[in-house]
Amino acid sequence: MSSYLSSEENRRRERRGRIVYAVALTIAGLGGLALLWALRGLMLPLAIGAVMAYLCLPLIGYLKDKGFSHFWAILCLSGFFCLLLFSALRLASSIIPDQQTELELQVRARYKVNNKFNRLMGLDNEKHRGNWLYSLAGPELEPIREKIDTILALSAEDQQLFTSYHEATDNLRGRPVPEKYWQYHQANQARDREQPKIPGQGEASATEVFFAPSQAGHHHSLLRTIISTASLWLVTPLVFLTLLFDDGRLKQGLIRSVPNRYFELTLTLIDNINTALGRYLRGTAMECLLVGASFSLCLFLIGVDPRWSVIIGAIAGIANAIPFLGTAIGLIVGIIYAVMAEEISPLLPFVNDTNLILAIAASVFLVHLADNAIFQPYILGSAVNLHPLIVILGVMGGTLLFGFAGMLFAIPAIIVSKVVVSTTFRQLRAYYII
Amino acid sequence: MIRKNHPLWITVFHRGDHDRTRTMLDSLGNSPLFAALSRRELRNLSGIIHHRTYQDGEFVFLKGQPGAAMFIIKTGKVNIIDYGPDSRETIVATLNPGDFFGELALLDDSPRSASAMAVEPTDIYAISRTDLDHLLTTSPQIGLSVYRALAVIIGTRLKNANVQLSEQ
Repeated sequence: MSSYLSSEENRRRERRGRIVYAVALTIAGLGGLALLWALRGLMLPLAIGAVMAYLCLPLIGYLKDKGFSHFWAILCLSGFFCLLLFSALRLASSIIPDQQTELELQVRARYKVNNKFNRLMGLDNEKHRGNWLYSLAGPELEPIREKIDTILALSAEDQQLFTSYHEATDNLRGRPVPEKYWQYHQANQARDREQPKIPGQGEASATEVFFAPSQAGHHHSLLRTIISTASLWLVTPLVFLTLLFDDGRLKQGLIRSVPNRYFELTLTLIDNINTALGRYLRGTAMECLLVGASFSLCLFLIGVDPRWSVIIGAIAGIANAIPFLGTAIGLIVGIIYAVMAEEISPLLPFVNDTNLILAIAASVFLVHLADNAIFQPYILGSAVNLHPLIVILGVMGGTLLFGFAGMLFAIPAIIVSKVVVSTTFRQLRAYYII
Repeated sequence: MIRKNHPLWITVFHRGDHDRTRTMLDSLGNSPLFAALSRRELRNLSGIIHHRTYQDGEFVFLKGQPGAAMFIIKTGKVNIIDYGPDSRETIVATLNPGDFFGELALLDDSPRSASAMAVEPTDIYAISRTDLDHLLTTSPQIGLSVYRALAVIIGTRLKNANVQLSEQ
């Protein structure tokens, strides 16, 4: 058709075409950003499904190479994941406390926090109140302890309930409160009598903080919360399966929409992104696995219950995907366990109930050291060649914009942006486009 | 039980692209590069094939550009054009349906040694080097067959070039 137009009209047509493309691209870009912002709640389940599918692609390839069809390879993999999820849910259900256990935990936690704090600060010694640590940081730490103590204190209703559980008069399951925990409760009450405070007035109790309905007047039932969460996370398996069944059609469709002039450039760009992202994601997954396994092993050696070693190790391993914060999360979870632990059976002779916190801190330090000295250099290599400042700013910015999802996916997003920028300009020149 | 080639199955699950896939498999099977592959292997290969359409006079690639893919002509014609020291165009070859070009891009990303231009509306299948490399790791048999055929073709062309040189 263009041959019927004069060269001047052709030039005008090209100019108009460029304007139309630029406007359409701008609108599409802005629309995409607005959509991303509006659907940011879906981002985490969506991204997790996509990342899982991405990580599983080599496994699908391996199974196909072993003679499985694409369908059966996905079915086998999905079956494996279902089994894994079922085991995780069973493990989770075994550690979710009922109301009595919840109160017991609260009583234990409060007693242990106060007890360990007093021992650490030398406040249990009647002759010399407070050691060097107390004189160094006591005034700063005391308000924090007070705050935790207030949060963990039982409300009047909870105290009544706990007493009834102890007397086993109102206990349908017929499990009385262990005598040890009752003694803890009495010690806590004695502490209340020494330093009176009225839970429920001013400060909320732990039960109210963690299990009360949301503050904004949205009184959601547990069922409604479960349904809304489940419907949100239903996206994850859907995205996972869709991407696995897609078998390259999405990529083909994307490339089909690209003009011929940019065809090979787009192939190169996608390949570079795929290589960088794949190296980072698979490297990070392997690193998290090793960190989690090492931490579990260390916890087992210092006497943490094997089941809790696995759970805390898994939390620390997953948290390790977040730069800088992973170690801190592992440490906090480990310390919470150490504070709550009743009795430990360490394989290492020098670890005991008193220095368990120190042993956990040392474990975190050792694992962190192994991660920095062995896992990261050998597994990740130069996959994350980013300046630490960019990493910190990226994680903070991602958290501010998209919350937890932003924190988790800030680094992959930066890696993709870096590859896109560096590759695009180089390739645009190589393909004589600019 | 509905068979996989049942029209209902095809309509629901293949979304009408069954014929397109069959045509693609036929075209690929006729190419010497994929002649050794079975129908099932060709179907596996079809997952990494890109379909492109070029207008008359449109360049598929230019001399000197880095190569990322090789091309197989489905329909139409493509001229391979080289430029002499005085920038004069020389048509090295005219390729027809079933012919392939740009195959050296499957080995590395060295610059194209000539340009390729469609001389009539042309449909082309393209395979990228990285996709084929990936296929070599996931389905080594297919990758090996393709690379072996490629080595044979390049070897034959080298022999022919040697013969031509010795005759001159």
